[in-house]
Amino acid sequence: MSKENQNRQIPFAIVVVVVVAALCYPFSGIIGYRSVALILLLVMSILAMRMSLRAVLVAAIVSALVWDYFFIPPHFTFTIGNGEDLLLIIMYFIVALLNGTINYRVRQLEQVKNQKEEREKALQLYNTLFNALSHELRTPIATILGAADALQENEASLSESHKKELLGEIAVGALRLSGQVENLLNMSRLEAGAIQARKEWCDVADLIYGTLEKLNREGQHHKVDTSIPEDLPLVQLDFGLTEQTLLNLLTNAFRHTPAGTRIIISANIFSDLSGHFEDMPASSGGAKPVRDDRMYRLVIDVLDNGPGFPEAEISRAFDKFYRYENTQADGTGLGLFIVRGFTEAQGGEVSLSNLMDGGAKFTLEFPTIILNQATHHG
Amino acid sequence: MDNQARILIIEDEAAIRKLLEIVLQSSQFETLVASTAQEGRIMAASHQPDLVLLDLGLPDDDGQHLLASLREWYRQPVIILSARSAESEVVQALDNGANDYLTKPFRTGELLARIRSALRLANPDVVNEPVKNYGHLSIDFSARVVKRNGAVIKLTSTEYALLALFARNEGKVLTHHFILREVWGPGYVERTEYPRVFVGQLRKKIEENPNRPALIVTESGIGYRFAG
Repeated sequence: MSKENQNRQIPFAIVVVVVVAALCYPFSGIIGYRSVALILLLVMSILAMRMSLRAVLVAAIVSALVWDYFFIPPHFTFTIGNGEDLLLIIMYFIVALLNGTINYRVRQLEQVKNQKEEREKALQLYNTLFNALSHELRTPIATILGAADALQENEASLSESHKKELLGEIAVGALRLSGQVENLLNMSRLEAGAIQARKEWCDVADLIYGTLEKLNREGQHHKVDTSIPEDLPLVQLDFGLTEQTLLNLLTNAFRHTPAGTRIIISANIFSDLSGHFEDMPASSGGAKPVRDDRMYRLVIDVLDNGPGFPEAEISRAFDKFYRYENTQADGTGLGLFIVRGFTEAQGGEVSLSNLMDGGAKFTLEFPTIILNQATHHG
Repeated sequence: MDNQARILIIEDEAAIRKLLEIVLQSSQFETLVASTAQEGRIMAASHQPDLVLLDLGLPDDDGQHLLASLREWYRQPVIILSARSAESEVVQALDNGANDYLTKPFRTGELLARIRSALRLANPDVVNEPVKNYGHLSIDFSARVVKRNGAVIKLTSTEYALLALFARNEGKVLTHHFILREVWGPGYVERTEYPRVFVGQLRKKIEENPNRPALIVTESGIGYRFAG
C-alpha cells in the first residue's frame, strides 16, 4: 500500500463516518441513539477491512465524538448524562479499536502468506527455466565430449563411417553451443547496460537481404518472401544490432513453425503523422542525397502463416528464459529477450500479435531521420 | 598457386595456435608460430612470411599497435582474428592496414579460402591487366569502360571511381571510412551516407540481382568487399 494512498484514507474514513451519521440523524428519534452506535460500529468494521490502522483509529475517535455530540442526550454537547451512556461510549470506542486492530493483523498475515507464495512460484519458474537452459548447454557439451572420447579411445576399432558421424556430431554440438553462448553473452551485455547503439546510415534492403543470405541453410524448409519498396530511404540504425535482431526473429520463425510455412519480411517508412512514406517531399533529383531532419518511423514486420502464438503467452514472449509451453524446439529462451533488448537499445519497440487468419506477426518500430536515395548523379 | 607459402601465426591461445598449425600444414602451408606480440615482431622480421594471421588480443601488447608497427615495413597480407561483436576493433584494424578479418569461432574452410584469396591478390600472376573480367562484368581500366554482358553501361564519374576502387582491392574488406577517403577525399569521411547510396546505385547497374549482390558484398557494420 503506498504512502499517498494511506494519506488519502484518513479523510475518506472521516467523510464516510460523517455521511452515515448524517443519514442516521433524522431517524435517531425513531430508532434510538443506541442503535445508531451499532450502525456506526458496523461502518467501522467495514472500514477496518480495507483501511490502515491509523485511518481506523481516526475514524473511531471521530465517530465516537460525533455520536456523543449529536446523538447522546443532551444533544450538541460532549456532556454525557448518565453512567450507562458513559460505559456505552467507552465500550464503543474499545470495540471499534479492537475490530480495526484484529482486521489489520489478519490482513497483514495474509499479505505475508501471499508474498511467500509468490516468491515460491517465482523460484519454481526460475528453476524450470534454469533447468531448460542448463539442459540446452549440457547436451552439446556431453555430445562433444562423448564423441571426442570415442574417437580417442576406440580409434582402431571404429569404422570410417562411424568416425565421420562422430566428427559430424562434434561439429553440430559445437555450433549449437556457440549460438547459445553468444545469446548468453548478449544477455549479460544487455543486463549490464553495456549495449551502446552506434547509429549510422543504413540501407534497410541491404540489411534484410544480407540477413536472409546468412540464414540460407536454416531457412531452406520455409518459403521466405520480402516486401520492401524500391528506393526506400536510408535510415539511422545500428547495423550490427538490427542484423542480430532480425537473425533472432527469423531463426525463431524457422524453429517454431512447421516446414513449408510462409514467412514474409516487410519494411516501410512512415512519417510520424502516420502517413505513408510516399507522402514525403519528392526527391529533388539533385546532385546529392536529400536529407530530411523530421522524424519518421521505420517499421519492419516479420510474419508467418504458421499456427500463431498462444494468446495467453504473448505478454511473456519477450521475457528472459521464456519458452513457449510444451515446445519441442531447442532454445534457451533468450532469442526474443535479446530482440527486445537490442531494439530498445536503439530507441525502438517490438510487439507481437496474431494474424486474423492464423500466424504470428512481429513488428519492429524505430524512430529515425531519413535520407532519400532516389537516383543521384555525382 | 604456390602452396608452399609461409604463414606466421601470432596467437596466444595454445589450443587455437595448434589448430591453426594443423589445418594450415595439412593444406601444405609452411607455418611459423608466435605467442606474444614481441615474438611475432621478431619472427616477422627474421622469417619474412608470405602472410600473417594476427590475433588482436595478445597479452603483452595491443594487437592494433603491433599491426601498425608491422605495416611500417611489411607489405604482405595480414588477416586479423577477432572476437565476435567487436566491429569497431575490426574497422580500426582494417584502417590500420589489415587485409581481411575472421571472427572467432570460424570454420576452417572459410579460413583457408580467405588465406588463398589474400595470397593470390598479393601476388597476381599477371600484373596490370588493362581489362578485367568478373563473370558477366568487364572493366577496361585504360578506356574507363564498363561492360555488362558485353554491352557498355553508363556510370557516373563517382560510380566509376567507386567501382575502380573496389576492383583494385578485390577480395579486401574496405571500410566505409576508407572508401570515403579514397573516392570523395579526406574532407568527406563523416558523410557516411555516401557509400550506402552509391553502392546501392552501382549494384543496380552491375549486379545481376541487386538484392543478392555477388560482386559488392556487404560486411555487416564494417564496409564492403569486392568478391569479383
